[in-house]
Amino acid sequence: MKFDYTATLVKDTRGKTIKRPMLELELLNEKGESVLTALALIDSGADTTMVNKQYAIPLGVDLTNATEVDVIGIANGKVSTRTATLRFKIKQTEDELVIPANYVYSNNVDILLGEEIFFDKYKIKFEKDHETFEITKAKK
Amino acid sequence: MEIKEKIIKSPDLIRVLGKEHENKWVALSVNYKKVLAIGDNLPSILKAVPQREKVVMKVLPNLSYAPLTF
Repeated sequence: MKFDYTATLVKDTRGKTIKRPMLELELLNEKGESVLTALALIDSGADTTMVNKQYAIPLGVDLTNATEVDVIGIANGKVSTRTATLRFKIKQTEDELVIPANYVYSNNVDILLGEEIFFDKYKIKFEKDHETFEITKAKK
Repeated sequence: MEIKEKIIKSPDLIRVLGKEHENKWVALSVNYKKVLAIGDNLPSILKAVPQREKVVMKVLPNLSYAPLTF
């Protein structure tokens, strides 16, 4: 299935609107019930999925005893996260997935779908020149 | 004959979001035409818009983005 890139408020070095590959997700709780709809950035540069910690409570994700994992970005220093899972449905495909996710307290993260599991389950073709991307279930 | 593949249209966030939403949490209508609530955290917007039919998002700073890794 093909999707448009989503325009953001951000401009690139040429002053052009930056567009990003984003998917609409239905976020599910542990019982598989739909709780929230949110947008996620497909991020081939992230090793693992990152989720803003504020989603944990509404989704019923208990991070109290979750493993602590440090991550790095381009800035100096590490950021502490807690590893749990993210359960969701891709709205347009209705596919349901449960993937590992690092929950982070950060102003710079909403939901980033990183490579671990997600990129194994789907063949993802970025066609930035057409401002589209395609996701298809990987044949394994 | 060329068969055109259907492309799922992306939400028009530029039409609905502006500078005032930067760094905030927002609840949007499901058609992305209206901001239903704006707040400093997710619980506040969930309280302001209790109905299920909404899209929530953390509006990131208006800056370019670089990857995260272990």
